[in-house]
Amino acid sequence: MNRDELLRKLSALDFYAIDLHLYLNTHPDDRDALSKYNAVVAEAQELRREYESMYGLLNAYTTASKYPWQWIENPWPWQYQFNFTLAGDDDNVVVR
Amino acid sequence: MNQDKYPGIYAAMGEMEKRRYERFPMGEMEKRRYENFPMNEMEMRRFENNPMNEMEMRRHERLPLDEMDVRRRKRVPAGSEMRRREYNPMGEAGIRYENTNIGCIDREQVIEDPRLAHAYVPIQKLCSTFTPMTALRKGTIFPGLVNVYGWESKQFGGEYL
Repeated sequence: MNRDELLRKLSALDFYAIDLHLYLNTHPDDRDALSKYNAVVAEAQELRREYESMYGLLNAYTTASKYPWQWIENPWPWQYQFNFTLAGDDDNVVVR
Repeated sequence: MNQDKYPGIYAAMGEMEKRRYERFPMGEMEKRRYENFPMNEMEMRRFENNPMNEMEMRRHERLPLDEMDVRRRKRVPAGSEMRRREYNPMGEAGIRYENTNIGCIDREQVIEDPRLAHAYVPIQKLCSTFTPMTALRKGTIFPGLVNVYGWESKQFGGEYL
């Protein structure tokens, strides 16, 4: 899986978790939604670990870095090279 | 006034009705209608307690009581074709994103005894969601929040729903 594809899937899972998090704030007793949220968060953590092991840090504050300090080597999120494009995406992209 | 022709009606009238009747006697059609469809006992009591005035009569003729029910039924109900198309038997990443409770109704709360000019927001239930990649493109995981007004499909050439 290349970097863009990995980042796109991770973004999708993070977005899903954020929207479900908002729903759970008003529906804390919804077991089905909570199980989906837990599954998505676990999946996102797995992908994040995979991404950071291959392509560098996604967050400078929560992840340990190998020597030398990796954050400055990475294209930062506000840089064009860092981001992927959603144009041309279809719904059949498999997350895993 | 022909009291001899309708003695029963005249005899049943109260004093005020008799005076009014003398000033505004029934027309021929009113008399026939009354003879063909006389009020029964319950109708008489109901009418005496809550007689319709002229405006209510007109409104009732233009907007019968079930008009709002008919309009409400015409709106897209939950679980319609539009939403069923988003049903995805197996979600991405091995997670089941589809509705695990088949027959789930996302607006199942019934609002009882609604009051005039009060706002009511029914509690919604999560029945189905988009897969993560579709949700990222659409900007929401909730199918019910996409194409709410029905114009997105035209603007985006059918890309949305």
